[in-house]
Order: sequence, then C-alpha cells, then structure tokens
Amino acid sequence: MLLGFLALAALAPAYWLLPAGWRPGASMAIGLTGLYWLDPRALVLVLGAATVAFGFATLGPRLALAPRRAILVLALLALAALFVWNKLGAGGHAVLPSQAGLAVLGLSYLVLKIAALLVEAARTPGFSATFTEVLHWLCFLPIYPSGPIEEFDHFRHQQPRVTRARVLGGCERLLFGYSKLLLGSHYLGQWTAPLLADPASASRLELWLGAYAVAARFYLDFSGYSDLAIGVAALYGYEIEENFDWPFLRRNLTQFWQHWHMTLTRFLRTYLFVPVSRLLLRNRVPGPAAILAAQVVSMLFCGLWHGLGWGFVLWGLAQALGLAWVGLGAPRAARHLPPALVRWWRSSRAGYAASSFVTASFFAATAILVALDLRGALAYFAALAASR
Amino acid sequence: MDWNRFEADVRAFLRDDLRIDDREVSEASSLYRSGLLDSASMVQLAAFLETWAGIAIPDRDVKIENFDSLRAMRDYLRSRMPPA
Repeated sequence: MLLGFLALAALAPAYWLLPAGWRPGASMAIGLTGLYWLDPRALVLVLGAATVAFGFATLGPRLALAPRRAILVLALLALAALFVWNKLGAGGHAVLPSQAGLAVLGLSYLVLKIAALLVEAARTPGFSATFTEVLHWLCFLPIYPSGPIEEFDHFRHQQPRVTRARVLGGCERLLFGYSKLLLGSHYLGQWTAPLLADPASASRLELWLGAYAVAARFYLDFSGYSDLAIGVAALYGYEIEENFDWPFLRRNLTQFWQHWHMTLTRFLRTYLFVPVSRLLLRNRVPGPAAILAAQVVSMLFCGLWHGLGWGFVLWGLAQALGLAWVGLGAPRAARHLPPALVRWWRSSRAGYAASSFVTASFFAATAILVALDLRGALAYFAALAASR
Repeated sequence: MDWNRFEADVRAFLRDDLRIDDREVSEASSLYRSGLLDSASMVQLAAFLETWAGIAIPDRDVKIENFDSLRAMRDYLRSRMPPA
C-alpha cells in the first residue's frame, strides 16, 4: 500500500498537465484503474455500491416513508453482511494495526461511506446526487484503502485546484506520513514485538512502556496513512478532511476521541450516538442511562468495525465506560471533592498534564486488548499485575 | 418563547444542567473546539432547545454546526421557525 501511494504521487505531474476541466474525469479514471489493479473485486464492489446508492438516492425520495425505510434497513443489513464476510472471509480477524485477514482491502471504509450516504438520502428532504458524483467519491484512490472517511458533501462540491501551495503542502504531508510509518511505526513495532510475545519475562516498567509504545504505534500507523491520503489528494488538487489532531495532548477521553480518527468519530456520533440516545430519551429513559447506552452501542460498533473478536468487544466497552466516566461519573465525583482541588485540576497546567497522562495511560492499557488476541492480552495484563 | 430571553435561558441551562462555566462562553465562541460541548451534552442541549422553542429537531440537524455557539443555536432555531 505504501508503494501505491508513492505511485500515485509519481503520476501526479502528468495529471497537472491536463486541462483543468479534464481533471475530475482523469481522477476518476485513475481511481477505477487503480482499484482494478489493487483487486478486481474491489472495482466490482465499488461499481455495485455506487449503483445501489445512486438508485436509492434517486428513487428513495419518491417512495412513501414505510417502503423507503424497509429498503434502507435491507440495504444496511446487506452492507453488514458484506462487512462480516470481508472480516471473516479470509480466515478470521487480525490484530491491529495489521491489515492481514481482510478479503478485500478498503471494504470497511466503503461500507461506512455507503451506509452514511443511504441514511442521508433517506432522511434529508430534497437529497439528490449524480452517479458520477457518487462513483468518484467512492473510487477516489488516495482515501479508498484507509480513509479518512470523507463526507460526500465535502467531496462532491470540490473542483480540483492544483496550486503551488497545495502541492508543497501535499509533499510535506507525504514526508510526515512516510516518516511516521517507516520510522515510528516500524521501529516501535520491532521494539514491542518481543514484549507482546513474551510479557512474563519483562519488568513492570517495560510492560507499561510497551503499552504506551503500542498506543503510539497505532497513532503513527493510522495518522501516517491519513497523512499519505491527505497529501496525495492535495497533489491531485483535492482537500480531504483531517483525521487526527494531537489526540494524546487532550485532557480527557471525550476530547481524545474528538481528535482521534475524527471522521470515524463523526460517523459514530451522527449515525449511532445521536439517534440512539435521542430515541431512548424520547421513550422516557433517564438521561444518564440513555447516554450510557448510546455510548456502549457506539463504541461496541467502533470496536467491532476494527475487528471481529472478543478483544475488540472489550476494548469498545472499555472506551464506552471511559467516556461515560468523563461525562457522567467525574462531574458527580467532583461534587464530593474539595472545590479548590477541582478548580486546580480543571484550570492549572499541572492538572491538565496529569489529566492528559491519565487519559493516555487508559488508552495505552486498553490498546493491549486489540494489539493481541484476547488470550495474549490477558497474559499481558497478568504479567503486568505479577511483575515488579 | 421570548427571543430576548434566549441567551439567558441557554446560559442557565449550560450552567445548571450541563455544569459548563458560562463565563467562558461568548456569543460566537466555539463550545465544541473549546472542549465545553461533547456529543452527550449536545443531545441534552437539543432536547432543551426543542422544549424552549416548541419545535421538534430532527436527528439529522443534531450536529456540531448547529449547536457550536449561542449564535449558531439562535440561527438554527430561527431557520426552523415558520415565517411570520
């Protein structure tokens, strides 16, 4: 995949020579050709998904509410089945950040994008889209394999603008991305591999450092690929939404998730958290219970989207409980603490640093759940508890 | 519904129900970017504004752009009001 981004970047100067009006078509042609080269099944899936989404966006508004909802539910169930097939089809789930174990690369992102488009087409009055707009959005190669989960409306209204500033900015992002992936992620992976394989022989300090290194590796890996996607897209004149914004410098888990994989967080908020919590509130479920239930649904989905395994389920539950603690538990706990201490924690730099450290430590500890299979993760935690 | 009371009523809700220090909130300041508003508080804020304005806010409108500041909330609610 790294070479694929490089090939796309190398092709960009030829793209710049094209008349401006030809560039969207050329970008789409490159996308479709690239998908065929990547995996012919990916091309078939993208063409099929674009056809279904365009058909629903065109016919859906003419249908009555009940059949429109029925078709939407059926389409979402089909997407879920496709997603499960993709995760399990090639022999089971993988641990993060490996892409091994997927039947078709990029399908997890494709499924989310199509689901979002279908829901918007079903619930937005006057929604319309052309087949070309949908197809270009889905096959735009820089963001196809690993996101960001670019919003349809943000992408379709863009006219590619190749400017010196944008090209230089794109080159800079490519440099950042490759540095993160080849230097940071690669070497951290090498350093953590023996710790993850045999935690029993490591000290407590090594195990904690190992957990932080795993979390840092996830960050460098995911944000590195986002940098590559944003950088290559800039070389083709497109502005793609940001996906990471210094998450480890945030003071609590809520803010962490607002700045970690931001386009996925937006998807979870828009299509799971908001509808689920509001449905429960409308049905007279008490506020805290509704918020907690919506957090659990959203983060369980988040975990299972990353991988179909018990470690991912526990990881999602842990994130949900952490978010619930920040939103519901901590404010209540603060009422029982001395006001001066609470003020210091909330407003001083030392309080901010301590809070960020606790947040990063929580994320690092839970990262072990998805860096290993469940048995391996439990062995890691057992070694951490028994070590000195 | 009294538009003259809008800002005072929202500030009271932010302060008393969401425990947000409303002294940090100006007319245009971003509640989301400043870390004062999150998904959970946005949903509660939407419920409050529904009651305040006497309208139903659809799920598709419960997004940061519409609730990010006092001005954004006011603009959104006004856009949903039937023309006088």
